Amino acid sequence: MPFADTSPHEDYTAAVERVAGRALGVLMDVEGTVVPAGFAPADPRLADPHDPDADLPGLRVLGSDAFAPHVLRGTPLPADQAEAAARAFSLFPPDTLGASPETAWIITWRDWATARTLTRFGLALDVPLPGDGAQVADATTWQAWSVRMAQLSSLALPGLDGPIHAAARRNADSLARGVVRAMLRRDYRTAARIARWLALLAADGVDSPLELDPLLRHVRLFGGGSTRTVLDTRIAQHVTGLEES
Amino acid sequence: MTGGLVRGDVLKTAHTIGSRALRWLQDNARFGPLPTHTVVDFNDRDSAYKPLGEIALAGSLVLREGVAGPGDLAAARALIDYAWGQFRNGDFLYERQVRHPLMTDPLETYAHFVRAGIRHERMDRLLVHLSELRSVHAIEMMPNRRLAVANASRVAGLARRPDWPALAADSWLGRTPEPWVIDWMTAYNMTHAVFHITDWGAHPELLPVEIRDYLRVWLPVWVDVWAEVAQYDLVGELLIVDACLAEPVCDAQGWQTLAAAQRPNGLLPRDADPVDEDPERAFKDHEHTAVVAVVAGTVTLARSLGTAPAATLG
Repeated sequence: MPFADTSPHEDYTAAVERVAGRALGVLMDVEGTVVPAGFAPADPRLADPHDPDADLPGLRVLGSDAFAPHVLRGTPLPADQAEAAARAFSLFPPDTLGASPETAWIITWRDWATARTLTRFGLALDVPLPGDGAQVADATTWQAWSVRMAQLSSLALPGLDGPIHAAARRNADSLARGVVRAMLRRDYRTAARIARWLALLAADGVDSPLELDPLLRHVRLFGGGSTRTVLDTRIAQHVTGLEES
Repeated sequence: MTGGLVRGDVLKTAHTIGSRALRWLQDNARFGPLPTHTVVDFNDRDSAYKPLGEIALAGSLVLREGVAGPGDLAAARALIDYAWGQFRNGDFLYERQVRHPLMTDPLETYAHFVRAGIRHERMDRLLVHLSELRSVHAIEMMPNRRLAVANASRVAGLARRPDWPALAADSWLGRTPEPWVIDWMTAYNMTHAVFHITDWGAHPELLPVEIRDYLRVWLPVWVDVWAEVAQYDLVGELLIVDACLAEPVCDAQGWQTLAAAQRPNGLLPRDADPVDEDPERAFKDHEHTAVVAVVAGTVTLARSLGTAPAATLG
């Protein structure tokens, strides 16, 4: 059935949620069969089973987050998903993602993280080399800086390291402040993204002034049901090795 | 990551806001007289009793710190004298305390005048007696209110020594709670716990180290989020907390928010709601925020200049 009721933007959002739901399933259960109730793709009609490319925007947007569960659980990436990832990148090159000149460097870093992650599964992606990360040091306040780090949250995975990670390690308090600011502004997506950096720092033994476990649980209960946000909280939880709840 | 304006600009802004708020209080205090034979109803937003005590607090801190210019010092003294006169040179507070021996507001209000060097002999005798009663100390109240009474007792010179570490540990801050679960009222209570522990910034060293470290990280976040929603009164309270720390942590942003909101006549609105153009209504609505601005400006300037408060604590 055609879904004339949905706009391209809705299809796009649905694809992101669908891919996030699948990644969440991988993370929560090694067989990929368990997605928590309420976090499954909202409307199956939005996924056209006859269109193999329907998920590609979601794969492109989520980038390394779509594959992070396989990295974290040590499970192989199915061949069709690796191929889909490569297709998503060729279909949506960086200059089609709507970045402004001020934010293009963020896309470059995210693509770098995706390429590095896919390398672990034997897939080579041709992406531009990121710069020296100087832009992340340019932010004048902890508020603006922490929001940038939220936009770079897909880099916050074990095994990835670089100048962005070094900046995170130097500014644990600014990350923590950014999380709390986002929580109080009820911007749970941003909170979960910044929390991923704190989770990575915690795994590296860097002290954080925040207790992450209750915070991540709070985001899941109050965060409005975005599968993508739940995925961020679960990745963070997995990275720190916290008990799942 | 830099902190915006340099500290010198913060101090200049703090001084200007506080000084202008003090003059606005002086210009408008006539709208807050205590009616004869008044019955104090704390649920009455127009009650004159609480504002008079707050005006005395602001004046007493300006005098205690001594960092204001001659004009501001004279204004502070005039405001205290006005409030004391409204309280019939303390008789009102004394009679209220006699009538309600378990109520703490007469002591708390009286302490502001003591800080400014004013005493009421019969009140002093009464308070010494009451402070010896187990019932008085056993009154059930919120931890931050218990800190308020402890500080008022300290300022009034009552001999009994409260267990300050235990009182502080019992407050919301004492638990070093999740900083992302705080609401407007809890934030006010939190600020007052700090005010009372340090006697309004006179003794930053009395703040327990865990609370100090906790505030160092989270205070700037709370200033940021409440400045964003134009809660000027609460932002001012949070900036007083900053001045109660041995080393302030907030940048110029909160002060700039207040400076932009303050009107040319010195009125600082409590929030983003329209200000009533009737000066009497405006005084009742925004008197508290003016007091907050005076205290914030005064204590911020004094701590940065490293002046020791004139009054010492026992």
